[in-house]
Amino acid sequence: MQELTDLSDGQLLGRASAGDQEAFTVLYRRCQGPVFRFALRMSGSPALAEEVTQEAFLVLIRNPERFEASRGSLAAFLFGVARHHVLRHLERDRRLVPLSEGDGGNGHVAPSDGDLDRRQRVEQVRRAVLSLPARYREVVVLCDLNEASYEDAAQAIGCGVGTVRSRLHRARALLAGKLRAAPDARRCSA
Amino acid sequence: MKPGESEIEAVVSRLRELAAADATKQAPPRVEAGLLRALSGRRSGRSLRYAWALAAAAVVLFIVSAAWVAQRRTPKKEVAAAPLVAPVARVEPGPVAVDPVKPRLKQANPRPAEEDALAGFIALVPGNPFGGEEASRLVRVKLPRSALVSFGLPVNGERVSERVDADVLLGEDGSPRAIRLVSTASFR
Repeated sequence: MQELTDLSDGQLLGRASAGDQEAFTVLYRRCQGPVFRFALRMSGSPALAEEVTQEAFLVLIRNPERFEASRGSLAAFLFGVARHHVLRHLERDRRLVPLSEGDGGNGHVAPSDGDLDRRQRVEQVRRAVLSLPARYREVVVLCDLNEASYEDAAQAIGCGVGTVRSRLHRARALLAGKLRAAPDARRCSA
Repeated sequence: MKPGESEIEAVVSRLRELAAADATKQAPPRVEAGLLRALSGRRSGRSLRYAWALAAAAVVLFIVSAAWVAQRRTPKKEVAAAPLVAPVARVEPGPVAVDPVKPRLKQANPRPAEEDALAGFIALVPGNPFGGEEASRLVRVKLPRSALVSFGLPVNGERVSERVDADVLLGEDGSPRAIRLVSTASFR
């Protein structure tokens, strides 16, 4: 397992395609977090994020040839697959439950005032992101939250890098307006 | 109102705060377990497909081989059907000219091995049907059992509509000189 962690994504995928479970495990553990968080931030639903993550990696298991290393990174490919599934689910079911305080968290402890204030601010931003139109939300999630490069984001979305830049600029402006209009977390907690 | 640079920077800063808050969130372990099961199932399914493909290839190879062997053992049918009883041609005695390409039977003075080959033939022409200078050809045809009567052979009335295999010795002009039933049991 130790030497497998030194392999590139493409090499691991090649071994996994041949049935190497250890190689697949290393690859999965390397990539699942960003894919899960992308789906979670796009949908606000941990259940949907789980389903989308599974579907994205099932594509790698069933059709590994769909990933072409010459066209971009594996992360970008997985983001693209996850994006497709998220948008499909969002179209199908618009009654998603907003992310609650406890979603995805482990080992809750009673928060201090400072923690509460910070968490409320975080939730405020999360709600603002979720309220963005999908075309702007996806660039914010990919570039600002998942720290994907503009090139990877462009590949995942299927557009040019210039489009990603312009949409990101517009998305940040929209977010600024939403956060400006939202009640201040400090005042709410006071 | 169009946000200023500082406001955009504040937004980016808060987005980083959100990213840090979610940084540890991952898919639950059951997703990994399910995917590993899928990977394992796909591998076994692929092995099963390979096994089926191999078995199918073996069957096809066997059938092709069997057909090839059968084709080599069966004499080539040069004509689908020949006249059952052709007009009787006169046979001139003398040596037989041999065509090296087509299967021939030497007619004149057959040696013992050739006599075996010619055994069972019924002459359809007066005299020695195996003699003469002209070339001869041996062809295999299917005859209705009713035609056997014309050769003086007994025919089972219940099977009169069936067909039997027969070797027909043809003269150079294509007229039949002699006939031999391939299987003597076939006309019983």
